[in-house]
Amino acid sequence: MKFWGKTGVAIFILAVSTLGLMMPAQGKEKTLVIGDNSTLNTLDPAFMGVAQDIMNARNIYQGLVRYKKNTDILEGGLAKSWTVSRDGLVYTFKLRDDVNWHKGFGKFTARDVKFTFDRVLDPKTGASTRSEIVNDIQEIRIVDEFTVEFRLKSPTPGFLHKLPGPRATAILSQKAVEKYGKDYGRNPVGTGPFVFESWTREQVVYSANKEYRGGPPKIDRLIFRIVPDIDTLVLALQNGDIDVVFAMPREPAVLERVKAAGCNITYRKAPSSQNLMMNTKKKPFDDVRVRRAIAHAVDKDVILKYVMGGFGERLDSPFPQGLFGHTEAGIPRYDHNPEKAKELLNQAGYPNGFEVNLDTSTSPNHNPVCVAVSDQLRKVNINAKLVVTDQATWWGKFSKGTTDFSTMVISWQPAAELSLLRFFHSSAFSPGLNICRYDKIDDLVEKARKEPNDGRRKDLYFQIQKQFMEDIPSVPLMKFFYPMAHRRHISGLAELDFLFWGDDVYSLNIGEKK
Amino acid sequence: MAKYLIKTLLTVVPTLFGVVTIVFFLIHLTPGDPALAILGPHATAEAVQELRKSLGLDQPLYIQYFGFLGRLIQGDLGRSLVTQQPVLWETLQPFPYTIHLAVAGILISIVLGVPVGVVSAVRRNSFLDYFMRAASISGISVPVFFLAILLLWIFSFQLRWFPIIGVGDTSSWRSLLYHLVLPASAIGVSMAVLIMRLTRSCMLEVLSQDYVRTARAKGLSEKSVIIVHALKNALLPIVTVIGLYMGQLLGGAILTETVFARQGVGKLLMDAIFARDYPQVQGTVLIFAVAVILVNVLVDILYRIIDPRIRL
Repeated sequence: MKFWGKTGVAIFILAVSTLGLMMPAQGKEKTLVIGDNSTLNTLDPAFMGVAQDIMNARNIYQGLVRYKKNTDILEGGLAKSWTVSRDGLVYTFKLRDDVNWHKGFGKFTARDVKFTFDRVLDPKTGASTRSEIVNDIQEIRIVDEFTVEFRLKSPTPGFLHKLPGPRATAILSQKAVEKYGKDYGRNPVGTGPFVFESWTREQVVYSANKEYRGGPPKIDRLIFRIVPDIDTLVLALQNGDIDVVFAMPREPAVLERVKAAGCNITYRKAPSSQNLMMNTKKKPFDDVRVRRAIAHAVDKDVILKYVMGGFGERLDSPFPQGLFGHTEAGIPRYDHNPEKAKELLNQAGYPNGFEVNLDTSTSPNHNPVCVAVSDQLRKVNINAKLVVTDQATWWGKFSKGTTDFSTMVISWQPAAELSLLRFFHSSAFSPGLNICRYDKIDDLVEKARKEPNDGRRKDLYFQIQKQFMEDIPSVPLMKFFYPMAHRRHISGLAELDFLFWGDDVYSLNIGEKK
Repeated sequence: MAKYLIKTLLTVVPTLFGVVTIVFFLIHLTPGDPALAILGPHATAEAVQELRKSLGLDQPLYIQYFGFLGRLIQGDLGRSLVTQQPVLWETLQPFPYTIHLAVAGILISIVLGVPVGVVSAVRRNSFLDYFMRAASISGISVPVFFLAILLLWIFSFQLRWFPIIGVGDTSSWRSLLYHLVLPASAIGVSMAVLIMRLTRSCMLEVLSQDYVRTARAKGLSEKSVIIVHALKNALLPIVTVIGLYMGQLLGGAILTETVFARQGVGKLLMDAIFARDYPQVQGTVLIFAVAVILVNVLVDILYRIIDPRIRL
């Protein structure tokens, strides 16, 4: 026993003394730490997909134009000004002549603009974002060192909304892309307020761009930390190890805890909507009465209040509040009414209801909603069996066209037709995202796409919304609000943001850390 | 020894071939599409088709398989579909941190488990023995991720003794060690209880054998009987189990890595699976397999040191 006693004491002393040695010194630099529970894939805008890519890239890069904070109004980014030809086909951009690339890659010029777009458009690049612009741009011409001209294939009034980036249209340095080649995604070079420093699987680190045209940023370092476990992420935020979380869980108890630990909660009222999509070409959803019955059977208010913790707004139009042309007046509306739903089902020849698979993923934006929908449908004798898979499998079913009934989140672009084209137009039939196989608004969407006059476009939007709600290929459930949490020395997070993810850290108010 | 190494090498090749083949088909036959995982849910159909083509996913599976084998033989694990980075680099970069965690966890579990197990066996049916056994049962019942969250909550959040997230400043060993304490303890404690129970039962068996009685009869001190004679012979199964855990940990510290937001290969593999990043999954599993085989070779060599009767 004596032996073990001595050994135990020795181990204890050793352990305690090592701990003392290990206490790290604190840095004096002013740092802002963004926390997220998912990793990013690439910082090459041509290949970006996930939200975390965008959260990061928007602080490195600039586009030709950008959104004024909290609005859908465009203002100059790398372009000082622009003109549009009378026929709507030629966009001429005057570029800033005082912008330098990070890390000594020289001056930003029109050549970089042409290079960026040509690179995405070239099929050999294999850019995953190519389809976002390939149908719009005919060619890009350098007029002089700081003037560049875009020739479009057809008049596209929504074209400018494709330019703020950072996906596909963030401007890259030709020199840097040529230097790094395939490894560019890990060696990004931009013109924005933060300069890329390093990337590990734990964190991405940026330093301030002292040359940034608005003046140097208020912080020296920006760190994007990846904390995969959501409970750990919340603890780190409470502890002050993390300053901002853009995608907080919606549980009220968690948000209360975070508030009590010295954080503020604000909401991103993103124009994202949650929808219940039905395949209009397949039984039983091919009968509009069935789709209307489902619209009446679903209780949006209950889902919003109890499932989404009240973070959202009820939605009764295909596209959400805050988008140009949105209306809920004068178009069909489906209130919660199980009796009416049963009656419609009866008329459609399903007096005893039916059985159907409801596809969903494990995501907190989808799974709880589907559980509630399934339960509400049971009350009108529709047995919607949940098929829960991981995200990749679920998306795989979309592209294979094997999904007939599913929720889908749509992040709307400021010009609604751009998103309508991708979700509710016959050109987007499977393997596209039009899993409703809905084609009744094709003409109207085409017209809206080419209509330069705002008044007439608004009128077209009205007709689209009316037709859509009559046919109800998908039940719009709600517009999402995403809770964001931040330490109290930070303020000024955007409520409305058309890049959807993250924020322009440069524009935040950052005080002394408490 | 030389014969042993040659024999091992001869079995390693078919083992690895089997591993890569099984993994290749398992991951390719799993539903889901890497193109979609890369592009996100809002990708257009053309984009998905184009990307599938540029990734070579539109070709028949067997062609993809032979292409993969051909490149593998040349030592090329390919590039990750998601990050465009070489798979080897992506895997080896966080690998040291997983090894730190695994080794530190095992060390803690040995330091805690073996002595306690020996004491439990020597003082069989004493209060200490009962107490340790009860503690070990509760230890076994607590899943490692829960223990990790508990440690995090007590020591990082309430007491603020330890950092919450990450592996620390990679250029400073102090910072690395400091960040290692809690995650390694989580793994160490949950494994120590198993090692403790195993040590106890092995020791009990050995202590009842004739040569121990002989050793005592020779008048050797109790310390020397227990450590030199009994423990050494009880070690063989313990080393086996530790070797098994080590292999498991190299690929499976994922829960601990996730809770403590440490970079490591476990998390890398999980992300790759969710994104259907085929080359990354194949490459990571292959590297795991190599690591596990290496650990097994080490264990075999250790056997021989512990028990010279064993011929390799």
